[in-house]
Amino acid sequence: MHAAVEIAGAFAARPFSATAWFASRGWTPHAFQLEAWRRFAAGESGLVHVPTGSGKTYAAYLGALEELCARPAAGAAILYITPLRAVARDIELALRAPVEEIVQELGLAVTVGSRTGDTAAKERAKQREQLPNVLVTTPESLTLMLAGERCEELLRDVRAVIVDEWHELLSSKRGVQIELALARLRAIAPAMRTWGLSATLANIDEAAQILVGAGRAASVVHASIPREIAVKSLLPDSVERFPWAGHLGLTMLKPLIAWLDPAVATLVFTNTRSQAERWHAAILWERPELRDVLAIHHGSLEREERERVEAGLKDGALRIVVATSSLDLGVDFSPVERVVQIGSPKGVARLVQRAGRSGHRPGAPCEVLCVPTHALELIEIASARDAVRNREIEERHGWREPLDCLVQHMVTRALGGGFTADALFDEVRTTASFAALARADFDWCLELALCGGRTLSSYPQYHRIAPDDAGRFAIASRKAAQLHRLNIGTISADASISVAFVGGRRLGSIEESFIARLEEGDAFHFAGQIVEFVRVHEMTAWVRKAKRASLVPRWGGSRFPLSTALSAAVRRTLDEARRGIFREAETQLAEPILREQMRLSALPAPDETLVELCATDEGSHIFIYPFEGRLVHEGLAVLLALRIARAKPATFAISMNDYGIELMGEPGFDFAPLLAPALFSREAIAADLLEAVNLGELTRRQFRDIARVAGLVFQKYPGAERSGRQVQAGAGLIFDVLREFDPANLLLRQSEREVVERQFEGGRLARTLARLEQGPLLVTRPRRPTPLGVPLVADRLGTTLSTEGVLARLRAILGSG
Amino acid sequence: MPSATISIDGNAVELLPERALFITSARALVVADLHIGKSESYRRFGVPAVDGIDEETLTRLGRAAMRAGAKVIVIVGDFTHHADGIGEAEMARFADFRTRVGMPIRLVEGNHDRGVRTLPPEWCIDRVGARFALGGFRFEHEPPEFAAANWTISGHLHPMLSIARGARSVETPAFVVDHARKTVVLPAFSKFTRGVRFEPRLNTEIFAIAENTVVGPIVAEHAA
Repeated sequence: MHAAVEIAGAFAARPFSATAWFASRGWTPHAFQLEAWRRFAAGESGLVHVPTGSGKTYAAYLGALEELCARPAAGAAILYITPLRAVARDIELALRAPVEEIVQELGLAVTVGSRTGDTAAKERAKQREQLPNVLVTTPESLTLMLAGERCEELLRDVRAVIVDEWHELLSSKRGVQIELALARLRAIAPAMRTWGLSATLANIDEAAQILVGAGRAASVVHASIPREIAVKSLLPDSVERFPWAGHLGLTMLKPLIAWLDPAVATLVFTNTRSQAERWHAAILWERPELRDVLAIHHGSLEREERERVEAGLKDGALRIVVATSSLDLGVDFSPVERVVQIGSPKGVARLVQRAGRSGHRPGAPCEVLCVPTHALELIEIASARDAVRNREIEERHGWREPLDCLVQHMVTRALGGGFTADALFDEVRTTASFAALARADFDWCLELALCGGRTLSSYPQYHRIAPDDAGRFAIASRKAAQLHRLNIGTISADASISVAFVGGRRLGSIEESFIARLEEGDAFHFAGQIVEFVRVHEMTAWVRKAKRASLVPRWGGSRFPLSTALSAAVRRTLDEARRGIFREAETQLAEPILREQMRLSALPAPDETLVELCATDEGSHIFIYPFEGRLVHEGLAVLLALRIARAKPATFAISMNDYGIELMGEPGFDFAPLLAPALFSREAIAADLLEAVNLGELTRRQFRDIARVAGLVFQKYPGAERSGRQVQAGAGLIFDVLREFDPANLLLRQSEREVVERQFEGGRLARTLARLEQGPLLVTRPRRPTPLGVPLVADRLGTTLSTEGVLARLRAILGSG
Repeated sequence: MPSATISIDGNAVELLPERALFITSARALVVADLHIGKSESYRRFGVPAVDGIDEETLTRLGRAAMRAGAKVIVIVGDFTHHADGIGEAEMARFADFRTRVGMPIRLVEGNHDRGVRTLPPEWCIDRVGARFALGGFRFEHEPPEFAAANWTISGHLHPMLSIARGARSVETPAFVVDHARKTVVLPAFSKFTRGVRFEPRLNTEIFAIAENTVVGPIVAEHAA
């Protein structure tokens, strides 16, 4: 791992030149690479923005390497941070290639190594004394290094930090973790420059600013390598054969199987893990001879299995791989020639990224074949093509002041040499995330790390840091140190348990709730195998091989909402249909459905929102279609239900999907008089949403992760791994306690804010309400649910909102019986 | 605070919204599953938990005993949660409770109590073993599988009524009166518990506690 190549008395006879090294390989640098090298040399920090294709790694790296050769360092000089531990090895090889030449040709000693969760203990021990000059690492391992007592000494000569896949990290709490780590590194090594690598984003300048820190100059280097993207689709003969609702329709299985060709390496992307299992099983069922060249890849599979599949793709042994977003990122699998997208991609950037996985021959267009799984997805595919053509890509935003991350960082800093409150406050305010942090909130976090805050202060396990006489905070105990190191990071595991063959290898992990429903002998598809459940023992579900199965595990929280960019395109497509224009093959196929929609109700013009009022035996329904994605709709649905039910206590059944919402009240309930602008007011969105949400379970769920990151509950204990459910029980209890005894607790406020901002895409929800408030609303009264409404009725999942108390509800239930 | 009065085998029994049952003739207040010290034992296990839970439990117990005019309290098991959960704070809190509530307390042992071999003598709790009889009733922590000659009063299951119709649903602590097994199952007295869901079914009456009111009987016909 750590190529320590020492050459005695070596000194730079002539400097290393990136351009010369490229030339020696017969390569010509792209303009963006030359620009990135020049800007690095000029001392700038920023972002390299590469839509698709390669060359980004060297754009950021070689500038830093040139400087390292001109001014050799004893320890770490270049840190390369990747979100994917699995690709650290490949990156290390890429970074080492020019170094080998430097060592041989220029007689310079430059060491390259990596430090991730996979690094051997021996190697780690060596690195505690001295880090290699070029170090590949993950956000978590970087934070662990900062929690080392000698971190200042080891990292003080860092000159460049390169953050890969910044667009992906940016919008997760791992992004905040990196922001805080970078702030720390800049304090240790003031001359350090930061460069990020990012795929296409709409708000690239904002992404660059977050990376380099608040108020610092951020450069953006654009790589404009035009590459044509062809969005094709596999279409059924007619639409009648499509199921109305449901996302796993295998209607297109046979046509897809006819199209798949093991001679042509193909990646088949799905949007969920369940869908991947189902399609993999179905393909194998129809084409058993593909067994050895067909594989499945998703995030719940055992790491060894994923690595085997990745290697098989690279060396060409595997020809068809069904995958989820687990293969969106990472190294390029050059032999992949074709890409298939099952179902709507739900986002434009995702489709572009996935299409970019195909056909790596220079100049060749990349191509993706979309396979619709229900009729309405025909419209989404046509709209996605339009959006790709117009390069309408989504934005991604960072997190604002997640205090759980700050509390964790405080304990990390206490371990990594200690801190004083004033200096740390100034330091964290150099990050974009905490730039406007109030001192009172900082002090509150400090108290939480110090003693558990107001509610938990009488318990010694929450005394994690302690001040000395000079007011410098250090870790309070060895036990606190050990627990913190084990639990560093912001990735939270699902409540899942491991699945393994009896007496054999591990396959991966499944949510406990799925396993809990199984009885011995129940067979299900998992990891591309058919297995039957034997028993649960020692946090493992033991299984054995089986012949047939119909069950597929479900994993929660894995459905993407329709993105802003794609939903705008969908509204355009529907407007064309309204005007009788059916341009694309997909919309032509969907024409009978869209005409039925217009016959029963209507399609909205661009400035209109369609509202349908409808009565059935079940009750009185209102359907509203903003086309803003399921997250916004979830927020909108509970918000409107609350506002309607607040005037007069009532209970509504709620349903939502990517297109709209449905509320169902008692038979005879009249929604029409309520459709006034006041219902859609943007005033008090947050308060109303929180009132509605507090009636539900959402904040409680959100709090689980926050409690874990803040160190109130632990995912891992020395010697034993607690299951997610145990963490959830623990966090649920704390949540109840805090709600009752410490309602002003900032972590509760944070869970609420995260629910509004992340769960419901708060900003997008506000824009949607503005659109509804300003109108016009196109209100129709269809005699039965329309093609747009049927999926909402069919997918209703038992979500309700009630402003009636327990007693009123109980009496209503008993009274109507 | 409306309670419900029912007659079991000719004995008047009052179901109190404090999650307690009162046998009028014997003036006995019967409760189950207090799980005293549960928060403390969670903390020892590394899971933070509430302060004030035991305090609320004991205040409510004293109030129910006072309001009903009880001369004896029968606890049908799981008075304590775990031996680890009885720390200094718990000792002092219960001693203080005893200065206010002086009547005899009989403890029928539950599964959780068995781990707590000795209780502090100053608590004056009379451990009566796994079964006990008073006022024509049997007391046993876990509901018996078959009906005995006399009616049994039990706990252990922490029953919750779970019922839904249309968009409305309710889940709330409840008394379960099972005529087939001649058993009354009490709701958990502690609010820091989760329970077993019960739906109304044949031969069973459920009395739900909703906002300090006991609502019932809820019978099979109420189930959708």
